[in-house]
Amino acid sequence: MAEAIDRLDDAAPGMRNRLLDAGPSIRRHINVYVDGAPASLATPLGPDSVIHIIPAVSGG
Amino acid sequence: MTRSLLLVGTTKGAFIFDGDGARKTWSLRGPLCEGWPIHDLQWDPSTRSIYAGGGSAWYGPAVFRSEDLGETWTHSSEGLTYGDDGPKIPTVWNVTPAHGSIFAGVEPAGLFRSDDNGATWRHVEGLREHPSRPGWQPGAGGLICHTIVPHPTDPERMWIAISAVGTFATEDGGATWEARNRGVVDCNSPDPHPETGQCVHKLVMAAGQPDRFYQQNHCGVYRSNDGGQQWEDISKGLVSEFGFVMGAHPRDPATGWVIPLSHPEEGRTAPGGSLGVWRTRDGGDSWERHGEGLPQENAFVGVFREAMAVDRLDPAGIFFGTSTGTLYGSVDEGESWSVVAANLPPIWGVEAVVLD
Repeated sequence: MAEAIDRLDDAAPGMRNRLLDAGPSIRRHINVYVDGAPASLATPLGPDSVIHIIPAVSGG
Repeated sequence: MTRSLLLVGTTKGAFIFDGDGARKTWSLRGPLCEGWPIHDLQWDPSTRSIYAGGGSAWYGPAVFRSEDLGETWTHSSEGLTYGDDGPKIPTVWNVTPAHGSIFAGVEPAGLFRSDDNGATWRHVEGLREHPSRPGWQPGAGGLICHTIVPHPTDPERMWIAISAVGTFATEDGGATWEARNRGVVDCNSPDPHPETGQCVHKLVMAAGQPDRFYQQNHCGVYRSNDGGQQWEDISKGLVSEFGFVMGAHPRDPATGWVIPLSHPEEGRTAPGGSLGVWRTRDGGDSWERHGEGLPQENAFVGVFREAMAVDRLDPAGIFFGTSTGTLYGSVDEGESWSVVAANLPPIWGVEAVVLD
């Protein structure tokens, strides 16, 4: 998952800082899911994995 | 043809008001900056850019920049971090252009610098290396570096203010800092005169006198004639020594404005529900209250620390925004007021820009 976010940042520079905080860690009010399950930066991805990055309700 | 802008930071984005030459008719643009909570906007005349500092609960802190008077924006927080082992930064409280660089004050208190117009940032580590840091405690608004005052001609000199730690000054470009709180009371401590811990709310430099400062503190209004080495209480005559904002006249070093508020345990709102702006013409020896055009009853509103601005025209225009989203303006140096806009989100920051 961490590598996928780096790839996303390559495509959209600055996106990594929007999703990750110091640590690195996923920002508190951002939820990441891989294939429908809550994920962390360490979650492995398969060739057909679907990733959801969703701002949480708790963020406002 | 002179044109005025008001740059307003709120809890729900930035707003820009375009004014006519008389500063009486204003048109609103916004919300801008993606509707992010924005604490402070400032104008950089050297690049004719607007900078906006704030932070989103979802997406973290950022400094936004516009090169076209707010029509389009970019933003970045690259390098705005204390590192992977450091505390997390939720938001930017102040952005200040100075001598070709941009400085940002953040929470938890620290100072960052950009030398590429906000694209990348680096931590000015000297401030958090001050020996007092283990004792830094937050105020009610957090542990925030909310004010940055650059020396007008010497890029090595700068003053910053942190709630609730105090005023610091550097004379070597930020490598080392000195606390400048002598004479300022800490009314929330058993020791009323510690080296640090004073809750400074706003610091302003007097026009043309880079060693003269005025300070609105949690525990009083003060002035210094020696760059903050020593402070003298000038609260006498004010309805309350508590408040957040302070404005300095663009040409007269003895004129300034404050908006006293009730004490914290009484709500930090207009005393008695009557909103007034107090002006001094003699460096704080005396104060006069002005409320014409402001609500004089049932107005339990606050004014946050960054929410007052003074423009450079003659007579000077003063503008301030309330915690309840009303923006007021005066074009006669604070003697009378009118509503620029009502029904905005809670206002955190106001900046007045004059374009020729």
